[in-house]
Amino acid sequence: MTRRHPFTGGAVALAAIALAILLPAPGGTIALYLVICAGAAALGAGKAIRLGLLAVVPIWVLLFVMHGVLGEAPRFALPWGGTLSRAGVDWTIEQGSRLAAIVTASLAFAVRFDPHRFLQAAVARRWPWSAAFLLVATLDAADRFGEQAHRLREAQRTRGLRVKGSLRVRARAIPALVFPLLLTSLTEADDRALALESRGLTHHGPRTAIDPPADTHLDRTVRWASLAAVIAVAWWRVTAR
Amino acid sequence: MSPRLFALVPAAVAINLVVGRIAAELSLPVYLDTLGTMLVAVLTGLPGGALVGTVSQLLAGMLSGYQWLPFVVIQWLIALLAALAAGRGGFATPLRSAIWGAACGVLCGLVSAVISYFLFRGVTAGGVTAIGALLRGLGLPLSTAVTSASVVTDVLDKTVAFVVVGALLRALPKRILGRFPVAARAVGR
Amino acid sequence: MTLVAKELRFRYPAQNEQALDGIDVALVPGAVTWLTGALGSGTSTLLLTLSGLAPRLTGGSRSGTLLSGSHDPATRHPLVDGVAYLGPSPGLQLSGVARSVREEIAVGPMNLGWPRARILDAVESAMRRVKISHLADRAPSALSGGETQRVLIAALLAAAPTTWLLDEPFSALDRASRRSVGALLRELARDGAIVAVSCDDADDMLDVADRLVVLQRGRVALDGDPRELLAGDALLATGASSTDAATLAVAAHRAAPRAITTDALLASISPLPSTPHIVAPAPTIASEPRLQCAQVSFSYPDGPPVLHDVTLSLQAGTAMGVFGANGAGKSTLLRLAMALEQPDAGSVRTLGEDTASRGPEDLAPRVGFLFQQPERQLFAASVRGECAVAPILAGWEPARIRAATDTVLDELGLFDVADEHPYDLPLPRRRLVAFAAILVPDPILLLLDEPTAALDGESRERVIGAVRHRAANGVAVLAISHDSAFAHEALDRAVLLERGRIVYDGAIREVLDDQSLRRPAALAAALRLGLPPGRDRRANVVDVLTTARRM
Ligand SMILES: Nc1ncnc2c1ncn2[C@@H]1O[C@H](COP(=O)(O)OP(=O)(O)OP(=O)(O)O)[C@@H](O)[C@H]1O
Ligand SMILES: Nc1ncnc2c1ncn2[C@@H]1O[C@H](COP(=O)(O)OP(=O)(O)OP(=O)(O)O)[C@@H](O)[C@H]1O
Ligand SMILES: [Mg+2]
Ligand SMILES: [Mg+2]
Repeated sequence: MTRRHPFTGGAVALAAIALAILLPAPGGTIALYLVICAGAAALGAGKAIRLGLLAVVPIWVLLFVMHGVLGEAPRFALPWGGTLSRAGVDWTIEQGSRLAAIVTASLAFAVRFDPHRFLQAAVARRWPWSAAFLLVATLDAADRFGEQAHRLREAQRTRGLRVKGSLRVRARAIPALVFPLLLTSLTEADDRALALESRGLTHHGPRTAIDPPADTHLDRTVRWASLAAVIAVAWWRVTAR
Repeated sequence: MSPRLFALVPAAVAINLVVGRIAAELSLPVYLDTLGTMLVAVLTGLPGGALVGTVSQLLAGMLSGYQWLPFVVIQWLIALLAALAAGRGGFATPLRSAIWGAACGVLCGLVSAVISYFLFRGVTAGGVTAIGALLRGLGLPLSTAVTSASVVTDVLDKTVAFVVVGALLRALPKRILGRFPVAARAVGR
Repeated sequence: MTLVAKELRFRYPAQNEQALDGIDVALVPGAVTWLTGALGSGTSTLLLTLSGLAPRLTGGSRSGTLLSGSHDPATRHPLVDGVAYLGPSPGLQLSGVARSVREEIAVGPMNLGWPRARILDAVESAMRRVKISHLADRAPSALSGGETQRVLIAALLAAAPTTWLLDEPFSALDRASRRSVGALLRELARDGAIVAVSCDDADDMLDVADRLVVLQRGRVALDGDPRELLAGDALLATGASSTDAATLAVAAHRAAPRAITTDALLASISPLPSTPHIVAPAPTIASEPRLQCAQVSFSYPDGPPVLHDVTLSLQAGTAMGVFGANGAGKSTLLRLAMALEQPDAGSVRTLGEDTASRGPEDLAPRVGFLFQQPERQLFAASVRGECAVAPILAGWEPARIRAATDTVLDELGLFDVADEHPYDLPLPRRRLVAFAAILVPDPILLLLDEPTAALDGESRERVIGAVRHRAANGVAVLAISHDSAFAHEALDRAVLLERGRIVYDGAIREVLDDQSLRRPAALAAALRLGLPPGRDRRANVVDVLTTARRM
């Protein structure tokens, strides 16, 4: 499968999120959620569906408790006793499906997101460098953070700190790591500023994309289509009133 | 944007995301997702902190969905408050940090209560909503339940956050602290 | 276009004394200028200031004039201005936005907005000139120390700078790379670039530098022809370190002008009778080896094989060197010995226990492990605190910890900074702190990864002393080094790694002339004088030279 242009995925995800807010719930949002899941699966981001569920199921439960169970009257009786708030249950379904759609769209985008292709695309499009750099460098920083955590951990283990074994042992090892980790990431950022500057990464000016991702007709069509869809739905919602 | 921020912001955002994630996975009653924002706000001032907060929220959306984006307001608010506290030596001792933290917690709690009530009808992320539901169960009206829940959690969260940040700032080597006059003032040096 | 500094002063924020205190230098195109000086003399700061990075990024205050041609470098962006600055700690210099070495090297040109074709050419030729084409597709974060340093030099080269300001660029390089990078610097100068290098290893710079500038407490103490200055007495007064041969001659009270190259030294002693009294090397106690590797093979998860069928054994009281080119697998071998990695095949027994079933925490603190670039692995808020970590974890009581710490800090000359934050110390001392921290719980096996890399002369002597002293007291030492003087003065056995295979295992003398290590003056002299191998050989050579002088 040929990779799409990085902006295309972003546009589709944004459109999906906008639609989730615009479309009438529950019918529209539920349908949208299903479409998003189908799309994610088709684009090889099926992982996002599972992660999405992990993220929203707790929220569904909370919605149900807060509004369904503890909601205002009018309430209706359940066949097996007890009552639920009519409005609350409706809201649970509306908001539940809306959030499910947004979360899954966001995660699908995240799963497919490739920082370095994105940076190349942004540079090729003359996007503001600071913005593009911050996004990508931050994702890298998260990795470096992990590497530095690993380095410190190794150093501490070579001095005799126990990190494996019972839960208590592992729990006690956490603060020993976190505090120095935060400190070194601050001090190292200070040295890194010198490196970034001398490599021109902080320089404001035209840059060259080494391998700009291909932007096909299909990409452009998809992006325009998503925009059109959002506008259309917005128009329909406004005029429908 | 100053070269120093180019290096500092990614590091700080990483701190926000990673620590916040750990706190969430250990299902602690606190978020701890603003440490980086506060640090940069103290070191370089409000704009830097606000930038960290914004980028953090944008990236956090990738992990937990973009519905929580409105809470970026809290990131900005905490950046502002941290910068204020710094200017007034709010991190000089653990006690001072705790007091400032609690005060900021009330403010952030009220603001996030408004966001949470009007945009999400009080149902947001785990811990705080659970407390809200509990209070609701005790018969409080939704608005009161949501407000008190988010004030309680935010006071706890921000107090911890301020104490931790204070400890970090006081432990910074002179070379670093020397470059950030505000931070030096913040810890009363 | 010359780079001229007049009355240049610089003070770091929140520091009382000036780091630069009235520097007058003019760096001319076509010359390689070598900056050196005692610990904290200001060479790094001078490079930062010349590049315009200080005070713009470091904060602090600068006074005096600094002109590159007609403009002040501090007002321009270094890369755009054709200025290449390389910091002293390789690990921190990577851009963090590249997935491969090729991309890493392309970062500079990309930021200059060159046409794509030109960038690709520049990248390829830079990799060729620094001889790292074979690393092109590797991940920058997964390189060995020396490989990283070479990648960084190539990354600067690709942007075709006209002013080179390099801080300790040789620290992690093997001998061959030192030679080729040195040659590269000469080429650059010949092609009209300004080249200034801060380096504490005189032997590395001797054949590269046209001019030596020695700093002392932020002032220019000496400025002139390297060979003349090294041969004279003035250099010693500044506390800067000299060449092997010169140091030896000084130890033997030879008067200036002194021999500064091995050949000159040999020439000066050739007519000597070779019947000196000799201190015999300490005999090694035959017992269970402290470290034993049997047919060890290893490769990193997604990497090529690194070690093949490595077998070695290290006895108590032996100080063994691990030598080999950058990327040969030295650090990896040490990591296996410390149970930080597990062998794919074969077995590693440290202190008589198979590492397969254990981790580093089981070996500490009886085994002391010093990482390459240890400055990135300090985690306490004070030198004393750093030293106390291991003993506390080992359950020592405070009084004992304090006593042990004081002894070690005293031994390494860190006593006066015991309560400083390690990060507040100059890099060489920061590295020394890491060394001190592993010595405090007096381990019986030391695993040291380039313990003298980028150290100033004095710190280097202290490390050499510390290692010798412990080896003499029955501690087993396995040390990686590209530093021939350290190797020769502190070690008595050697294994030589070549692409992950042990190609030599024996007395140190023979290996001390391979591509990873230069033959130090003392060794050459000892061989000339027919002195037996052993840790005390340098002392013997000095004896001979001294007596010879008296005759
Ligand atoms: N970032 C910094 N903040 C405060 N003081 C500093 C900083 N860097 C260096 N100094 C101080 O400035 C002086 C000069 O330091 P510098 O690193 O330039 O010395 P040096 O000649 O490079 O010595 P070496 O390389 O052997 O450490 C020293 O006293 C050092 O402690
Ligand atoms: N984490 C890693 N992942 C993958 N490959 C690695 C990793 N670390 C090192 N390597 C590779 O393994 C080989 C040996 O690395 P090692 O660090 O042992 O070399 P070295 O002998 O210590 O070199 P140097 O003298 O430069 O430190 C090198 O080719 C290096 O690129
Ligand atoms: Mg230096
Ligand atoms: Mg190594």
